[in-house]
Amino acid sequence: METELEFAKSRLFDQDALRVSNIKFFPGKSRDVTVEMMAVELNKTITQIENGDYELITDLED
Amino acid sequence: MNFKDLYDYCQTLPVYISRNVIKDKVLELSGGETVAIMRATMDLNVQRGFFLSAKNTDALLVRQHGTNVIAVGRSQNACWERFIVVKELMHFFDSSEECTDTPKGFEENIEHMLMFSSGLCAQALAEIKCFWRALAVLCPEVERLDLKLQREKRHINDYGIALKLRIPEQYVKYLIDDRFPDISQKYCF
Repeated sequence: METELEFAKSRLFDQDALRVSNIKFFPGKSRDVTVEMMAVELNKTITQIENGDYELITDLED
Repeated sequence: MNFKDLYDYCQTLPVYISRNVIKDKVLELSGGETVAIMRATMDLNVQRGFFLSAKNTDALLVRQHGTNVIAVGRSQNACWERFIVVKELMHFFDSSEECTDTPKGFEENIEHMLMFSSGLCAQALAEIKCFWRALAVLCPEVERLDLKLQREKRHINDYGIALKLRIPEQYVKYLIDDRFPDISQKYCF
């Protein structure tokens, strides 16, 4: 079965995909989380970023 | 690049320390790296944010934002957002061994992070290390000792300290813990 974890691995690490050299997480509020749930959220967020659904905050004085 | 250089720099700053100040110093120490920081929608129960460094300059995300991206979940208060961004910035200091750069390492890092087990892989240990490093740069030691003393006298409480430093209130207990210097020393240097 195709899982979000396998999708994440391919899109992150394949030579003709992002070719990620480091990825790290800030975990969420719940301790009852699985690897697959983390992959789902990561995939959603990367897709949002690739499609312009984000708000840039690179420059924040606070 | 050496975390100690950032740590020493932050010791000289008045609180609260702006995330821009920390970001600019990290990028300066990195010798020419860039970072794009953004808010996106994510389930905050599962994930509050992440740091991603990608090398394929043909990939859309890299073309648009450069090599390094930090994403944080929308709708978090300023203290949380600041802390997440600063913690993720600390990954610029990851050693090559600590970098998550393979599918196997990626899965292992998440598994270990969620297990809170002993015998963590180097990548999962780096997650912990960066948490303590973020606390250490957001609160210079002189300030920390003073806040600890004020709290012992009951002249300030955790909420007051959190607001002064602009960090999440639930992390104040780690800063004022007697073991902070030992833990900080272990993970920071």
